[in-house]
Amino acid sequence: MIVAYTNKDQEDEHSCFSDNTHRDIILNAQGINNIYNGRYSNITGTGLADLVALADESTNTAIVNLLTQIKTDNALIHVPFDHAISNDSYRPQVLTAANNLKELGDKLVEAASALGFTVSAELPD
Amino acid sequence: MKNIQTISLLFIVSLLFFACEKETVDPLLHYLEDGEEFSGGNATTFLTSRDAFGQAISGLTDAQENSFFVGNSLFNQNWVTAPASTTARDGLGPFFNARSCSGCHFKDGRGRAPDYFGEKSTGFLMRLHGLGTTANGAPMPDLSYGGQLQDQAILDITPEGEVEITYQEIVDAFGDGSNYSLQQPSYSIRQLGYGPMTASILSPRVAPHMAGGGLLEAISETDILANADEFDADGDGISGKANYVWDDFKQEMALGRFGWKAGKSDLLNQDAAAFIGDMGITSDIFPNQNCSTNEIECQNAADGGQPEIIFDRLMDVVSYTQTLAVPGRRDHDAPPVLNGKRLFFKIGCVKCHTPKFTTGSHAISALSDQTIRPYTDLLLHDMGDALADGATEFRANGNEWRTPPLWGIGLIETVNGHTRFLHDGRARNLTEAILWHGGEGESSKAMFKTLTEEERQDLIQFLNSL
Repeated sequence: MIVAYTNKDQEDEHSCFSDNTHRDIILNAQGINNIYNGRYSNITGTGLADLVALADESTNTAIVNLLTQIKTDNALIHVPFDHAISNDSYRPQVLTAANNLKELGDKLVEAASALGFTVSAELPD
Repeated sequence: MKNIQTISLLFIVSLLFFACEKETVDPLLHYLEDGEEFSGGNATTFLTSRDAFGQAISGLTDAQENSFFVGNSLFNQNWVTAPASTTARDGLGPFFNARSCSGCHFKDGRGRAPDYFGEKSTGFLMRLHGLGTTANGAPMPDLSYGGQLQDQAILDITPEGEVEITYQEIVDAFGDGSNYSLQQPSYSIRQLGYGPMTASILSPRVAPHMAGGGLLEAISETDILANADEFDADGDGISGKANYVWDDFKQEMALGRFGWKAGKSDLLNQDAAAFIGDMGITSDIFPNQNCSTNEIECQNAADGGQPEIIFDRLMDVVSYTQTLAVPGRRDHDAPPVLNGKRLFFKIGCVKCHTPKFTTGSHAISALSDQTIRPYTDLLLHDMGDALADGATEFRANGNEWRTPPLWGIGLIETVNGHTRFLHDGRARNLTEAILWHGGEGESSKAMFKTLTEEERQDLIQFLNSL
Protein backbone atom coordinates (compact mmCIF):
# COMPACT_ATOMS: atom_id res chain seq x y z
CA MET A 1 0.00 0.00 0.00
CA ILE A 2 2.73 2.42 0.99
CA VAL A 3 4.64 1.49 -2.17
CA ALA A 4 1.67 2.28 -4.43
CA TYR A 5 1.13 5.47 -2.42
CA THR A 6 4.76 6.55 -2.79
CA ASN A 7 5.23 5.55 -6.42
CA LYS A 8 1.76 6.87 -7.38
CA ASP A 9 1.84 3.96 -9.79
CA GLN A 10 -1.25 1.85 -10.43
CA GLU A 11 0.97 -1.15 -11.24
CA ASP A 12 1.96 -1.24 -7.58
CA GLU A 13 -1.66 -1.51 -6.44
CA HIS A 14 -3.01 -4.67 -4.87
CA SER A 15 -5.42 -5.31 -7.78
CA CYS A 16 -4.15 -3.13 -10.56
CA PHE A 17 -6.15 -4.87 -13.30
CA SER A 18 -9.56 -5.17 -11.66
CA ASP A 19 -9.49 -1.79 -9.88
CA ASN A 20 -10.64 -3.63 -6.79
CA THR A 21 -7.84 -2.45 -4.48
CA HIS A 22 -10.12 -0.48 -2.14
CA ARG A 23 -12.16 -3.63 -1.48
CA ASP A 24 -8.99 -5.71 -1.02
CA ILE A 25 -7.79 -3.35 1.67
CA ILE A 26 -11.13 -3.36 3.50
CA LEU A 27 -11.64 -7.12 3.28
CA ASN A 28 -8.03 -8.07 4.10
CA ALA A 29 -8.40 -6.02 7.28
CA GLN A 30 -11.80 -7.61 7.92
CA GLY A 31 -10.17 -11.04 7.66
CA ILE A 32 -7.66 -10.13 10.35
CA ASN A 33 -10.50 -8.67 12.41
CA ASN A 34 -12.51 -11.91 12.11
CA ILE A 35 -9.66 -14.12 13.20
CA TYR A 36 -8.60 -11.80 16.00
CA ASN A 37 -12.06 -11.27 17.46
CA GLY A 38 -13.32 -14.77 16.68
CA ARG A 39 -16.18 -13.51 14.62
CA TYR A 40 -17.33 -14.30 11.09
CA SER A 41 -20.61 -12.81 9.91
CA ASN A 42 -23.07 -13.93 12.62
CA ILE A 43 -20.92 -16.78 13.89
CA THR A 44 -18.84 -16.16 17.02
CA GLY A 45 -16.27 -18.23 18.85
CA THR A 46 -12.92 -18.06 20.58
CA GLY A 47 -10.56 -15.63 18.92
CA LEU A 48 -6.95 -14.59 19.35
CA ALA A 49 -8.29 -11.70 21.44
CA ASP A 50 -9.30 -14.11 24.21
CA LEU A 51 -5.81 -15.57 24.30
CA VAL A 52 -3.93 -12.26 24.10
CA ALA A 53 -6.18 -10.73 26.78
CA LEU A 54 -4.97 -13.42 29.21
CA ALA A 55 -1.32 -12.66 28.48
CA ASP A 56 -1.37 -8.89 28.05
CA GLU A 57 -4.62 -7.05 28.61
CA SER A 58 -3.41 -3.62 27.46
CA THR A 59 -1.96 -4.90 24.17
CA ASN A 60 -5.23 -6.69 23.51
CA THR A 61 -7.25 -3.54 24.15
CA ALA A 62 -4.94 -1.57 21.86
CA ILE A 63 -5.38 -4.13 19.07
CA VAL A 64 -9.16 -4.29 19.44
CA ASN A 65 -9.40 -0.48 19.32
CA LEU A 66 -7.00 -0.31 16.39
CA LEU A 67 -9.07 -2.84 14.42
CA THR A 68 -12.14 -0.64 14.91
CA GLN A 69 -10.18 2.44 13.84
CA ILE A 70 -8.89 0.59 10.77
CA LYS A 71 -12.45 -0.30 9.74
CA THR A 72 -13.46 3.36 9.95
CA ASP A 73 -10.36 4.73 8.21
CA ASN A 74 -10.32 2.14 5.42
CA ALA A 75 -13.87 3.13 4.50
CA LEU A 76 -12.65 6.68 3.88
CA ILE A 77 -10.20 5.66 1.11
CA HIS A 78 -11.30 7.21 -2.15
CA VAL A 79 -12.63 5.00 -4.94
CA PRO A 80 -11.11 4.19 -7.39
CA PHE A 81 -7.76 3.61 -5.71
CA ASP A 82 -5.91 4.99 -8.79
CA HIS A 83 -7.25 8.40 -7.83
CA ALA A 84 -6.76 7.83 -4.12
CA ILE A 85 -2.98 7.61 -4.64
CA SER A 86 -2.62 10.21 -7.38
CA ASN A 87 -4.93 13.03 -6.27
CA ASP A 88 -3.35 15.13 -3.50
CA SER A 89 -6.67 15.71 -1.74
CA TYR A 90 -7.28 11.94 -1.44
CA ARG A 91 -3.74 10.86 -0.59
CA PRO A 92 -3.80 11.60 3.18
CA GLN A 93 -6.52 8.97 3.75
CA VAL A 94 -4.34 6.31 2.09
CA LEU A 95 -1.36 7.28 4.23
CA THR A 96 -3.47 7.13 7.41
CA ALA A 97 -4.83 3.72 6.45
CA ALA A 98 -1.35 2.40 5.62
CA ASN A 99 0.15 3.69 8.88
CA ASN A 100 -2.73 2.10 10.83
CA LEU A 101 -2.01 -1.28 9.26
CA LYS A 102 1.71 -0.92 9.95
CA GLU A 103 0.90 -0.19 13.59
CA LEU A 104 -1.37 -3.23 13.67
CA GLY A 105 1.54 -5.32 12.41
CA ASP A 106 3.77 -4.01 15.21
CA LYS A 107 1.07 -4.65 17.81
CA LEU A 108 0.53 -8.21 16.59
CA VAL A 109 4.27 -8.83 16.96
CA GLU A 110 4.00 -7.55 20.55
CA ALA A 111 0.99 -9.77 21.17
CA ALA A 112 2.88 -12.76 19.83
CA SER A 113 5.83 -12.10 22.11
CA ALA A 114 3.43 -11.77 25.06
CA LEU A 115 2.29 -15.27 24.15
CA GLY A 116 5.88 -16.47 23.92
CA PHE A 117 6.23 -16.55 20.14
CA THR A 118 8.67 -14.71 17.92
CA VAL A 119 7.18 -13.56 14.65
CA SER A 120 8.71 -11.38 11.99
CA ALA A 121 6.85 -8.37 10.64
CA GLU A 122 9.06 -8.47 7.53
CA LEU A 123 7.07 -8.28 4.32
CA PRO A 124 7.31 -11.26 2.01
CA ASP A 125 9.38 -10.50 -1.10
CA MET B 1 64.31 -26.92 59.50
CA LYS B 2 64.75 -24.47 56.74
CA ASN B 3 63.59 -27.12 54.32
CA ILE B 4 60.54 -27.84 56.35
CA GLN B 5 59.76 -24.15 56.51
CA THR B 6 60.12 -23.87 52.74
CA ILE B 7 57.93 -26.87 52.18
CA SER B 8 55.24 -25.64 54.54
CA LEU B 9 55.43 -22.21 52.95
CA LEU B 10 55.01 -23.81 49.56
CA PHE B 11 52.12 -25.77 50.95
CA ILE B 12 50.45 -22.64 52.22
CA VAL B 13 51.09 -20.82 48.97
CA SER B 14 49.64 -23.68 46.97
CA LEU B 15 46.65 -23.79 49.29
CA LEU B 16 46.09 -20.10 48.73
CA PHE B 17 46.45 -20.65 45.03
CA PHE B 18 43.95 -23.46 45.06
CA ALA B 19 41.52 -21.51 47.18
CA CYS B 20 41.89 -18.71 44.72
CA GLU B 21 41.35 -21.02 41.76
CA LYS B 22 38.14 -22.29 43.25
CA GLU B 23 36.72 -18.83 43.68
CA THR B 24 38.02 -17.44 40.40
CA VAL B 25 35.61 -17.60 37.49
CA ASP B 26 36.51 -19.35 34.27
CA PRO B 27 39.45 -17.38 32.74
CA LEU B 28 37.63 -17.44 29.39
CA LEU B 29 35.02 -15.13 30.89
CA HIS B 30 37.71 -12.45 30.67
CA TYR B 31 36.85 -12.39 26.96
CA LEU B 32 33.14 -11.94 27.54
CA GLU B 33 32.15 -8.30 27.14
CA ASP B 34 29.05 -6.75 28.53
CA GLY B 35 26.52 -6.29 25.74
CA GLU B 36 28.72 -7.69 23.00
CA GLU B 37 25.81 -9.74 21.68
CA PHE B 38 24.36 -6.45 20.38
CA SER B 39 26.63 -6.34 17.33
CA GLY B 40 24.82 -3.29 15.96
CA GLY B 41 23.98 -1.61 19.27
CA ASN B 42 20.29 -0.67 19.23
CA ALA B 43 20.31 -1.46 15.51
CA THR B 44 20.55 -5.20 16.24
CA THR B 45 18.04 -7.92 15.36
CA PHE B 46 17.95 -11.29 17.06
CA LEU B 47 16.05 -13.00 14.28
CA THR B 48 18.02 -16.06 13.16
CA SER B 49 15.83 -17.25 10.28
CA ARG B 50 16.55 -16.72 6.59
CA ASP B 51 15.09 -13.22 7.02
CA ALA B 52 17.90 -12.35 9.45
CA PHE B 53 19.50 -9.77 7.13
CA GLY B 54 16.22 -8.15 6.07
CA GLN B 55 15.00 -6.48 9.25
CA ALA B 56 14.54 -2.76 9.78
CA ILE B 57 16.35 -1.24 12.75
CA SER B 58 14.18 -0.02 15.59
CA GLY B 59 13.71 3.64 16.47
CA LEU B 60 12.82 4.81 12.97
CA THR B 61 10.33 7.62 12.44
CA ASP B 62 7.11 6.88 10.53
CA ALA B 63 8.58 8.49 7.42
CA GLN B 64 11.78 6.47 7.74
CA GLU B 65 9.78 3.26 8.19
CA ASN B 66 7.76 4.01 5.08
CA SER B 67 10.96 4.72 3.21
CA PHE B 68 12.22 1.31 4.34
CA PHE B 69 9.08 -0.36 2.94
CA VAL B 70 9.35 1.41 -0.40
CA GLY B 71 13.08 0.77 -0.58
CA ASN B 72 12.44 -2.89 0.26
CA SER B 73 10.03 -3.12 -2.64
CA LEU B 74 12.44 -1.46 -5.09
CA PHE B 75 15.31 -3.61 -3.82
CA ASN B 76 13.49 -6.92 -4.12
CA GLN B 77 11.23 -6.65 -7.13
CA ASN B 78 12.47 -7.08 -10.67
CA TRP B 79 12.92 -4.16 -13.03
CA VAL B 80 11.45 -4.64 -16.49
CA THR B 81 12.33 -3.63 -20.03
CA ALA B 82 11.09 -0.20 -21.13
CA PRO B 83 8.56 0.81 -22.27
CA ALA B 84 6.20 -0.89 -19.83
CA SER B 85 3.00 -0.07 -17.95
CA THR B 86 4.96 -0.45 -14.70
CA THR B 87 6.38 3.01 -15.17
CA ALA B 88 7.96 3.13 -11.71
CA ARG B 89 10.08 0.05 -12.44
CA ASP B 90 10.92 0.02 -16.12
CA GLY B 91 14.23 0.73 -17.77
CA LEU B 92 16.14 -2.49 -17.11
CA GLY B 93 19.39 -2.66 -19.05
CA PRO B 94 19.97 -2.60 -22.02
CA PHE B 95 22.86 -4.54 -20.43
CA PHE B 96 22.58 -5.91 -16.92
CA ASN B 97 23.94 -8.48 -14.47
CA ALA B 98 20.70 -8.85 -12.52
CA ARG B 99 17.08 -7.69 -12.77
CA SER B 100 16.90 -6.55 -9.15
CA CYS B 101 19.19 -5.77 -6.23
CA SER B 102 17.98 -8.99 -4.64
CA GLY B 103 19.09 -10.84 -7.77
CA CYS B 104 22.61 -10.59 -6.31
CA HIS B 105 21.89 -9.82 -2.65
CA PHE B 106 19.23 -12.50 -2.24
CA LYS B 107 17.39 -11.94 1.05
CA ASP B 108 19.74 -8.97 1.55
CA GLY B 109 22.43 -11.58 1.73
CA ARG B 110 25.59 -12.62 -0.01
CA GLY B 111 26.18 -13.75 -3.59
CA ARG B 112 28.48 -16.45 -4.89
CA ALA B 113 30.37 -17.30 -8.06
CA PRO B 114 28.44 -19.26 -10.72
CA ASP B 115 28.54 -23.02 -10.14
CA TYR B 116 28.68 -23.72 -13.87
CA PHE B 117 29.44 -21.78 -17.03
CA GLY B 118 26.50 -19.57 -17.93
CA GLU B 119 24.71 -19.64 -14.56
CA LYS B 120 23.06 -16.20 -14.20
CA SER B 121 22.35 -13.77 -11.36
CA THR B 122 24.28 -15.51 -8.62
CA GLY B 123 25.71 -12.25 -7.30
CA PHE B 124 29.01 -12.34 -9.18
CA LEU B 125 30.35 -9.82 -11.67
CA MET B 126 33.55 -8.89 -13.43
CA ARG B 127 35.06 -5.41 -13.38
CA LEU B 128 37.20 -4.46 -16.37
CA HIS B 129 40.19 -2.20 -15.81
CA GLY B 130 42.34 -0.68 -18.52
CA LEU B 131 45.62 1.10 -17.95
CA GLY B 132 45.57 4.49 -16.25
CA THR B 133 42.67 6.36 -14.75
CA THR B 134 39.82 8.65 -15.77
CA ALA B 135 39.88 12.40 -15.06
CA ASN B 136 38.39 11.74 -11.60
CA GLY B 137 41.03 9.16 -10.78
CA ALA B 138 38.63 6.24 -11.22
CA PRO B 139 39.80 3.06 -12.94
CA MET B 140 39.97 3.31 -16.74
CA PRO B 141 37.08 1.31 -18.21
CA ASP B 142 37.29 -0.97 -21.22
CA LEU B 143 36.71 1.11 -24.35
CA SER B 144 34.22 -1.39 -25.82
CA TYR B 145 32.61 -2.89 -22.74
CA GLY B 146 32.84 -0.24 -20.03
CA GLY B 147 34.03 -0.79 -16.48
CA GLN B 148 31.99 -3.93 -15.91
CA LEU B 149 31.02 -6.90 -18.04
CA GLN B 150 27.24 -7.37 -18.16
CA ASP B 151 26.40 -10.96 -19.04
CA GLN B 152 22.72 -10.32 -19.74
CA ALA B 153 20.78 -7.98 -22.01
CA ILE B 154 17.18 -7.15 -22.85
CA LEU B 155 15.45 -8.91 -25.75
CA ASP B 156 17.12 -8.61 -29.18
CA ILE B 157 20.37 -7.18 -27.80
CA THR B 158 23.51 -9.28 -27.70
CA PRO B 159 24.95 -9.58 -24.18
CA GLU B 160 28.52 -8.41 -23.68
CA GLY B 161 30.01 -11.79 -22.84
CA GLU B 162 30.27 -14.55 -20.30
CA VAL B 163 32.81 -15.17 -17.56
CA GLU B 164 34.42 -18.57 -17.47
CA ILE B 165 35.89 -19.73 -14.19
CA THR B 166 38.17 -22.71 -13.78
CA TYR B 167 39.57 -23.85 -10.46
CA GLN B 168 42.79 -25.59 -9.61
CA GLU B 169 43.15 -27.39 -6.30
CA ILE B 170 46.18 -26.48 -4.22
CA VAL B 171 47.00 -28.90 -1.41
CA ASP B 172 48.86 -27.80 1.71
CA ALA B 173 49.01 -28.89 5.34
CA PHE B 174 48.29 -27.51 8.81
CA GLY B 175 51.00 -27.57 11.47
CA ASP B 176 49.53 -30.80 12.87
CA GLY B 177 50.15 -32.51 9.53
CA SER B 178 46.54 -32.73 8.38
CA ASN B 179 45.99 -31.67 4.79
CA TYR B 180 43.73 -29.02 3.35
CA SER B 181 42.99 -27.94 -0.18
CA LEU B 182 42.20 -24.52 -1.61
CA GLN B 183 40.73 -23.84 -5.03
CA GLN B 184 42.59 -21.19 -7.03
CA PRO B 185 40.31 -19.63 -9.64
CA SER B 186 41.33 -18.37 -13.05
CA TYR B 187 39.11 -16.20 -15.18
CA SER B 188 38.57 -15.64 -18.86
CA ILE B 189 35.84 -13.95 -20.87
CA ARG B 190 34.07 -15.89 -23.60
CA GLN B 191 31.37 -15.10 -26.15
CA LEU B 192 32.40 -11.46 -26.48
CA GLY B 193 29.60 -9.64 -28.26
CA TYR B 194 31.34 -6.46 -29.39
CA GLY B 195 34.84 -7.25 -30.56
CA PRO B 196 38.09 -7.52 -28.62
CA MET B 197 38.45 -6.07 -25.13
CA THR B 198 40.91 -3.27 -24.43
CA ALA B 199 40.98 -3.82 -20.66
CA SER B 200 43.89 -5.88 -19.45
CA ILE B 201 42.78 -6.52 -15.88
CA LEU B 202 39.84 -8.61 -14.71
CA SER B 203 38.58 -7.94 -11.20
CA PRO B 204 35.95 -10.43 -10.04
CA ARG B 205 33.56 -9.38 -7.24
CA VAL B 206 30.71 -11.06 -5.38
CA ALA B 207 27.88 -9.20 -3.67
CA PRO B 208 28.35 -8.88 0.10
CA HIS B 209 25.45 -9.09 2.55
CA MET B 210 23.73 -5.78 3.30
CA ALA B 211 23.25 -5.72 7.08
CA GLY B 212 24.65 -2.75 8.98
CA GLY B 213 25.56 -0.48 6.06
CA GLY B 214 24.17 2.62 7.76
CA LEU B 215 26.22 1.96 10.88
CA LEU B 216 29.40 1.77 8.80
CA GLU B 217 28.44 5.14 7.31
CA ALA B 218 27.98 6.51 10.82
CA ILE B 219 31.51 5.72 12.03
CA SER B 220 33.33 9.04 12.17
CA GLU B 221 36.15 9.65 9.73
CA THR B 222 38.44 10.49 12.66
CA ASP B 223 37.84 7.08 14.22
CA ILE B 224 38.59 5.28 10.96
CA LEU B 225 41.75 7.29 10.32
CA ALA B 226 42.93 6.68 13.89
CA ASN B 227 43.68 3.08 12.83
CA ALA B 228 45.46 4.01 9.61
CA ASP B 229 49.19 3.31 9.54
CA GLU B 230 49.93 3.46 5.85
CA PHE B 231 53.70 3.18 6.10
CA ASP B 232 53.63 0.81 9.07
CA ALA B 233 55.30 3.29 11.40
CA ASP B 234 54.68 1.00 14.38
CA GLY B 235 56.44 -1.88 12.59
CA ASP B 236 53.78 -4.50 13.32
CA GLY B 237 53.56 -5.57 9.69
CA ILE B 238 50.06 -4.13 9.31
CA SER B 239 49.54 -0.93 7.34
CA GLY B 240 45.91 0.12 7.19
CA LYS B 241 45.51 2.59 4.39
CA ALA B 242 42.59 4.90 3.82
CA ASN B 243 41.16 5.03 0.32
CA TYR B 244 40.13 8.42 -1.02
CA VAL B 245 37.68 8.16 -3.86
CA TRP B 246 35.57 10.31 -6.16
CA ASP B 247 32.12 11.02 -4.74
CA ASP B 248 29.86 11.21 -7.80
CA PHE B 249 27.09 12.96 -5.86
CA LYS B 250 29.08 15.61 -4.02
CA GLN B 251 31.54 15.89 -6.91
CA GLU B 252 34.57 15.82 -4.66
CA MET B 253 37.06 13.38 -3.18
CA ALA B 254 35.95 11.57 -0.03
CA LEU B 255 37.03 8.75 2.29
CA GLY B 256 36.13 5.36 0.76
CA ARG B 257 34.18 2.92 2.92
CA PHE B 258 32.14 0.59 0.71
CA GLY B 259 33.01 -1.99 -1.90
CA TRP B 260 35.78 -4.61 -1.92
CA LYS B 261 38.42 -1.90 -2.35
CA ALA B 262 36.58 0.85 -0.48
CA GLY B 263 35.89 2.50 -3.83
CA LYS B 264 32.64 4.18 -2.73
CA SER B 265 32.28 6.83 -0.07
CA ASP B 266 28.71 6.17 1.04
CA LEU B 267 25.61 4.13 0.31
CA LEU B 268 24.17 6.75 -2.05
CA ASN B 269 27.22 6.38 -4.29
CA GLN B 270 27.28 2.61 -3.80
CA ASP B 271 23.58 2.11 -4.57
CA ALA B 272 23.47 4.49 -7.54
CA ALA B 273 26.55 2.79 -9.01
CA ALA B 274 24.94 -0.62 -8.53
CA PHE B 275 21.75 0.59 -10.23
CA ILE B 276 23.62 1.71 -13.33
CA GLY B 277 26.39 -0.91 -13.33
CA ASP B 278 24.49 -4.03 -12.34
CA MET B 279 20.95 -3.33 -13.58
CA GLY B 280 21.31 -0.59 -16.19
CA ILE B 281 19.07 1.81 -14.27
CA THR B 282 20.00 5.46 -14.77
CA SER B 283 19.71 8.01 -11.96
CA ASP B 284 20.48 11.69 -11.46
CA ILE B 285 23.94 10.63 -10.34
CA PHE B 286 24.61 8.35 -13.33
CA PRO B 287 22.31 9.69 -16.07
CA ASN B 288 23.90 7.82 -19.01
CA GLN B 289 23.17 4.26 -20.09
CA ASN B 290 26.09 1.80 -20.06
CA CYS B 291 26.64 1.77 -23.80
CA SER B 292 30.06 2.24 -25.41
CA THR B 293 30.44 3.76 -28.89
CA ASN B 294 30.69 0.19 -30.24
CA GLU B 295 27.41 -0.88 -28.70
CA ILE B 296 24.96 0.64 -31.19
CA GLU B 297 21.89 -1.53 -30.36
CA CYS B 298 22.33 -0.53 -26.74
CA GLN B 299 22.43 3.15 -27.62
CA ASN B 300 19.24 2.85 -29.64
CA ALA B 301 17.23 0.96 -27.02
CA ALA B 302 14.22 2.65 -25.39
CA ASP B 303 14.79 4.04 -21.90
CA GLY B 304 12.46 3.98 -18.92
CA GLY B 305 12.50 7.72 -18.35
CA GLN B 306 15.30 10.15 -17.66
CA PRO B 307 16.34 9.17 -15.12
CA GLU B 308 14.94 5.67 -14.80
CA ILE B 309 14.85 5.83 -11.01
CA ILE B 310 13.87 9.26 -9.76
CA PHE B 311 15.95 10.77 -6.99
CA ASP B 312 13.37 10.34 -4.19
CA ARG B 313 12.99 6.63 -4.94
CA LEU B 314 16.77 6.21 -5.11
CA MET B 315 16.88 7.80 -1.67
CA ASP B 316 14.26 5.29 -0.45
CA VAL B 317 16.59 2.48 -1.53
CA VAL B 318 19.54 4.24 0.11
CA SER B 319 17.50 4.64 3.27
CA TYR B 320 16.56 0.96 3.11
CA THR B 321 20.20 -0.10 2.80
CA GLN B 322 21.11 2.24 5.67
CA THR B 323 18.51 0.85 8.03
CA LEU B 324 18.94 -2.91 7.68
CA ALA B 325 19.66 -4.22 11.16
CA VAL B 326 22.72 -6.24 12.11
CA PRO B 327 22.17 -9.78 13.37
CA GLY B 328 22.96 -10.16 17.06
CA ARG B 329 25.39 -12.79 18.33
CA ARG B 330 24.32 -16.36 18.91
CA ASP B 331 25.95 -18.27 21.80
CA HIS B 332 28.35 -15.41 22.39
CA ASP B 333 29.02 -16.71 25.91
CA ALA B 334 29.54 -20.39 25.07
CA PRO B 335 33.01 -21.61 26.14
CA PRO B 336 34.18 -22.70 22.64
CA VAL B 337 33.06 -19.33 21.23
CA LEU B 338 34.93 -17.45 23.95
CA ASN B 339 37.99 -19.59 23.36
CA GLY B 340 37.69 -18.84 19.65
CA LYS B 341 37.46 -15.16 20.46
CA ARG B 342 40.56 -15.43 22.65
CA LEU B 343 42.45 -17.02 19.72
CA PHE B 344 41.08 -14.42 17.28
CA PHE B 345 42.69 -11.74 19.45
CA LYS B 346 45.82 -13.76 20.19
CA ILE B 347 46.82 -14.50 16.60
CA GLY B 348 46.28 -10.88 15.61
CA CYS B 349 43.13 -11.02 13.46
CA VAL B 350 41.88 -7.96 15.36
CA LYS B 351 44.70 -5.83 13.95
CA CYS B 352 42.54 -5.39 10.84
CA HIS B 353 39.19 -6.82 11.92
CA THR B 354 38.70 -4.04 14.50
CA PRO B 355 36.17 -5.40 17.00
CA LYS B 356 34.48 -2.26 18.21
CA PHE B 357 33.52 1.28 17.22
CA THR B 358 31.13 3.87 18.57
CA THR B 359 29.24 5.55 15.78
CA GLY B 360 29.21 9.32 15.42
CA SER B 361 26.17 11.22 14.25
CA HIS B 362 24.11 10.18 11.25
CA ALA B 363 21.16 11.80 9.46
CA ILE B 364 19.10 8.81 10.63
CA SER B 365 19.34 9.40 14.37
CA ALA B 366 18.73 5.73 15.26
CA LEU B 367 22.18 5.04 13.77
CA SER B 368 23.97 7.64 15.90
CA ASP B 369 25.98 6.99 19.06
CA GLN B 370 25.77 3.21 18.89
CA THR B 371 28.40 0.84 20.22
CA ILE B 372 28.88 -1.54 17.32
CA ARG B 373 31.03 -4.58 16.68
CA PRO B 374 31.64 -4.78 12.94
CA TYR B 375 35.08 -6.47 13.06
CA THR B 376 36.46 -4.24 10.34
CA ASP B 377 38.68 -1.16 10.23
CA LEU B 378 37.30 -0.16 6.79
CA LEU B 379 40.92 0.30 5.67
CA LEU B 380 42.92 -1.21 2.83
CA HIS B 381 45.48 -3.94 3.42
CA ASP B 382 47.86 -5.85 1.18
CA MET B 383 46.47 -9.38 1.25
CA GLY B 384 49.26 -10.99 -0.73
CA ASP B 385 49.76 -12.16 -4.30
CA ALA B 386 47.48 -15.18 -4.14
CA LEU B 387 44.40 -13.03 -3.51
CA ALA B 388 45.50 -10.09 -5.67
CA ASP B 389 43.42 -9.09 -8.68
CA GLY B 390 45.96 -6.55 -9.94
CA ALA B 391 43.25 -3.89 -10.18
CA THR B 392 43.91 -0.37 -8.93
CA GLU B 393 40.96 1.56 -7.54
CA PHE B 394 41.90 5.09 -6.55
CA ARG B 395 44.54 4.61 -3.81
CA ALA B 396 43.95 0.86 -3.55
CA ASN B 397 46.61 -1.07 -5.45
CA GLY B 398 46.29 -4.49 -7.06
CA ASN B 399 47.15 -6.34 -3.85
CA GLU B 400 44.96 -4.32 -1.52
CA TRP B 401 41.47 -5.06 -0.23
CA ARG B 402 39.30 -3.35 2.32
CA THR B 403 38.82 -5.41 5.48
CA PRO B 404 35.26 -6.72 5.16
CA PRO B 405 32.98 -6.54 8.20
CA LEU B 406 32.46 -9.93 9.81
CA TRP B 407 29.14 -9.29 11.53
CA GLY B 408 26.44 -11.60 10.26
CA ILE B 409 28.99 -13.92 8.64
CA GLY B 410 27.71 -16.95 10.56
CA LEU B 411 24.18 -16.56 9.17
CA ILE B 412 25.08 -16.55 5.49
CA GLU B 413 24.57 -20.31 5.28
CA THR B 414 21.08 -19.92 6.78
CA VAL B 415 20.09 -16.99 4.57
CA ASN B 416 21.85 -17.87 1.32
CA GLY B 417 22.44 -21.59 1.56
CA HIS B 418 26.16 -21.44 0.94
CA THR B 419 29.42 -20.70 2.71
CA ARG B 420 31.38 -19.11 -0.12
CA PHE B 421 33.63 -16.29 1.04
CA LEU B 422 36.18 -13.68 -0.07
CA HIS B 423 35.85 -11.14 -2.90
CA ASP B 424 35.22 -13.73 -5.59
CA GLY B 425 33.68 -16.47 -3.48
CA ARG B 426 36.64 -18.81 -3.97
CA ALA B 427 36.73 -19.96 -0.33
CA ARG B 428 34.29 -22.81 0.30
CA ASN B 429 34.14 -22.22 4.04
CA LEU B 430 35.56 -19.93 6.72
CA THR B 431 38.67 -22.05 7.25
CA GLU B 432 39.58 -21.69 3.58
CA ALA B 433 38.89 -17.96 3.77
CA ILE B 434 41.43 -17.64 6.60
CA LEU B 435 43.94 -19.82 4.76
CA TRP B 436 43.81 -17.51 1.72
CA HIS B 437 45.05 -14.58 3.84
CA GLY B 438 48.53 -13.47 2.80
CA GLY B 439 50.52 -10.24 2.81
CA GLU B 440 49.65 -8.35 5.97
CA GLY B 441 47.51 -11.31 7.04
CA GLU B 442 50.33 -13.82 6.52
CA SER B 443 51.55 -13.98 10.11
CA SER B 444 48.04 -14.44 11.55
CA LYS B 445 47.37 -17.10 8.95
CA ALA B 446 50.65 -18.84 9.84
CA MET B 447 49.66 -18.85 13.52
CA PHE B 448 46.20 -20.18 12.61
CA LYS B 449 47.88 -23.10 10.85
CA THR B 450 49.79 -24.02 14.00
CA LEU B 451 46.65 -24.22 16.15
CA THR B 452 45.28 -27.60 17.15
CA GLU B 453 42.22 -28.90 15.36
CA GLU B 454 40.07 -28.12 18.38
CA GLU B 455 41.41 -24.58 18.56
CA ARG B 456 40.73 -24.05 14.87
CA GLN B 457 37.18 -25.30 15.39
CA ASP B 458 36.70 -22.89 18.30
CA LEU B 459 37.92 -20.00 16.18
CA ILE B 460 35.47 -20.93 13.42
CA GLN B 461 32.72 -21.30 16.01
CA PHE B 462 33.48 -17.78 17.18
CA LEU B 463 33.21 -16.48 13.59
CA ASN B 464 29.95 -18.35 13.15
CA SER B 465 28.59 -16.66 16.28
CA LEU B 466 29.06 -13.22 14.68
